[in-house]
Amino acid sequence: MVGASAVTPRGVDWRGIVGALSAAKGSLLEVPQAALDSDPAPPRLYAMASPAARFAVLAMKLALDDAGWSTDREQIGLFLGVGASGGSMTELNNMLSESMEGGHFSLARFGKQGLAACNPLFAFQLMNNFTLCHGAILAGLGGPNGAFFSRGAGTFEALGAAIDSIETGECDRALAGGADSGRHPVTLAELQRERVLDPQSGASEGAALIALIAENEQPSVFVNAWAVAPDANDEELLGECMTEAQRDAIDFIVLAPWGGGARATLERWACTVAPHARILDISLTLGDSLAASPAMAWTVALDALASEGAHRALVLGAGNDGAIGVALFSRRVAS
Amino acid sequence: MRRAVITGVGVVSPFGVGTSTFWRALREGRNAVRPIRSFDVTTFQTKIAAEVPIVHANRSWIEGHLTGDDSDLPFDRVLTDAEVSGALRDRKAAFTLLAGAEAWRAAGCGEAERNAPLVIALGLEQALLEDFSPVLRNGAVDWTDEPTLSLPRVRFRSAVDLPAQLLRALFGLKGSVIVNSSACAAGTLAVAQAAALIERGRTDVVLCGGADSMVNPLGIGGMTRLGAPSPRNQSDACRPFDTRRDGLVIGEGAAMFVLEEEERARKRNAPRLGIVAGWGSTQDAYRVTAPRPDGAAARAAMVRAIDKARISRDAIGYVNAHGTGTPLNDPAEAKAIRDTFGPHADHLPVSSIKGAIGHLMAAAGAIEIAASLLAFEADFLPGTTNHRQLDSECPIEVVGESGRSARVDWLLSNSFGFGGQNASIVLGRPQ
Repeated sequence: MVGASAVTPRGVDWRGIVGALSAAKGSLLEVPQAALDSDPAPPRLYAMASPAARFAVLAMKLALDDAGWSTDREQIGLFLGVGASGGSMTELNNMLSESMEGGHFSLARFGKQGLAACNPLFAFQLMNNFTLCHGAILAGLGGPNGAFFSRGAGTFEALGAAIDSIETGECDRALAGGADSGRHPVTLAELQRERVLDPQSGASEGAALIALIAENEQPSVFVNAWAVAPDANDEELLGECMTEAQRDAIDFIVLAPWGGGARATLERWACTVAPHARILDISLTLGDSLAASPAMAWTVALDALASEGAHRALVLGAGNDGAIGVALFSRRVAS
Repeated sequence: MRRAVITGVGVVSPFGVGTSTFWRALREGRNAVRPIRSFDVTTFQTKIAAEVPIVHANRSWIEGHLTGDDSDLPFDRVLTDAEVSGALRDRKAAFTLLAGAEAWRAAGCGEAERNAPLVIALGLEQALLEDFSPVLRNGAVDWTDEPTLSLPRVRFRSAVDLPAQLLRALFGLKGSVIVNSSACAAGTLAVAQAAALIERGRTDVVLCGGADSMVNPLGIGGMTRLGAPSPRNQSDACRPFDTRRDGLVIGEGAAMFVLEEEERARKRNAPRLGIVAGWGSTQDAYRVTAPRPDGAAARAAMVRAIDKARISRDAIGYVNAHGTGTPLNDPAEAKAIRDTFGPHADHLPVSSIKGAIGHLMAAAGAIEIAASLLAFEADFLPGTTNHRQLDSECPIEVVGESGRSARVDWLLSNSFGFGGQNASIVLGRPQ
């Protein structure tokens, strides 16, 4: 890793985030407008981009700046965990209002008046791959890429794809991360209806990315291992990664659980792997931002390694589907 | 070196259920584009699509397509749960189950394959607009008083990964579930990632593919607002690489595959339908609304795929093009093909099946891989339905409507997505 970015409810700086989160009380859930205003996107973007895409655009710019990647961007890979569609509620309200007849939705009215009432580019707000594409277009990122739907753990697949892409020579630099908004009213309604919202954390939003290069380029922080298991209790699937984690002492663990059940599972894993490590549960201060949470956790781990004196940091994330993702980072040479 | 081979295919296409139905229709040069039946399009500008030929993709329709070989799969339980949750309101859920079951059955999978990961390309949630009526107050959606427990789980919209959840339950899969959401490039990327998992030794078997349906009011309406579909509501609306092309036709369906490590497949005498030999992806990084006109990023994806397969460009004997039939895509892709292959492009057959089955969006790459396998199965290259007059801006060797008999050992399939995501994949004839 040679750089990172984090667009969170607590601002846009990943450096010092461990200290900030350790001192914080309670969780903040929404990315402050001032953070987005710090680097305004082109006005046209606002007609086409979901909130998650706008967070991703800013996160990509910040990560590229942080890594010092200003040239040859057409070769840079981009792998992103993304969430559900996130179209503007104003557009949806306009469309639905024009489609009502006698208090009921009328398909006939929708086909004409309803569709005419919405922005022609509304579909681009809905397509969740545009969470990746808007930023790639604006930043000129032309390398291998993929958008992975994520309830949390899926973002670790984006990390894995980025690592594979570098290891197989498809690209020598890549951004990996996630962007999402659990604050979108439709998503929030779904989470409330399914009773999966955690009263201790809450659904939040944001984006985060890490900048990866090949090992022979001598980065300061290494990704030693990663894994995803569809069941947080599946020790066999996580075995290899956990074995790697236990090879040497881990002194910092970042948890990004969705909900209390997942928190207990992750804490159990943490105690098993490194009972004496310092543990920071970011969902208690940043909320749970679905596809973005694991990537935020990676940046917290990076800060722990860069400025908190940690040598090896483990990130454990779990989504609301019960899947678990693991990533191990270290300041030492990768084994 | 480990390689991935395709040992099972399952297809639900606008021609109906089953791979043999799909392949037969392609060989006969049939066209599945017709007036939309699954909802009333009287007031819609776009009135045609390449629909899977069923009005309601419900439980009885699914059960009507099961075979005796499916009896060991818990369809009854999965479909009961799907009905209770409302999952079958999303058409692609049904398509995914049937395509997945066919692929699983065709590859002879069973208990030994339960640890397989699932890598699947899925399109957007299906918006269930009628659900919003009770919560629309004073011109705005308001959930404050919405009852919760009495409502089906799938409400307002289906979850993106809903079909993946159903497949996992059907097969009792224990491996990872990876959902690729890269729009029109997703199907190809999912198959490529599945092959990568096998090549890198992470697994020996993967269930992979793609499913999508935008044949619903917001899907059809939203794409029409973008100006993507042909404005002509006729069965020949999609005309890839033709001078008269004026837009795409939306299709729906699913294609699923079992990918397997080559030696494992050989040892158990599994069918070997094609080798997944190489792949590449790039981003146009150009514009939201248009592909790069110089085709440079598309070309880079093709070159990466061919280089990864460790073959020469001249070894490619057929290109299954993305070929949407839109004014901007086809010339950009043709230029990319010509720049990739040079003089070899003069005699390199290229076809697009989108004239016949429309654009399956997230599933496009997967079903086009399934179509491409005809080149190995039957020495037949699918035709380009509705292609009659080659556009001079598309200087490539386009296979005509009726297809062509040819023996090829290597082929390339392209998928280029909205937003500029490009993916290419190389398939080889199994040895």
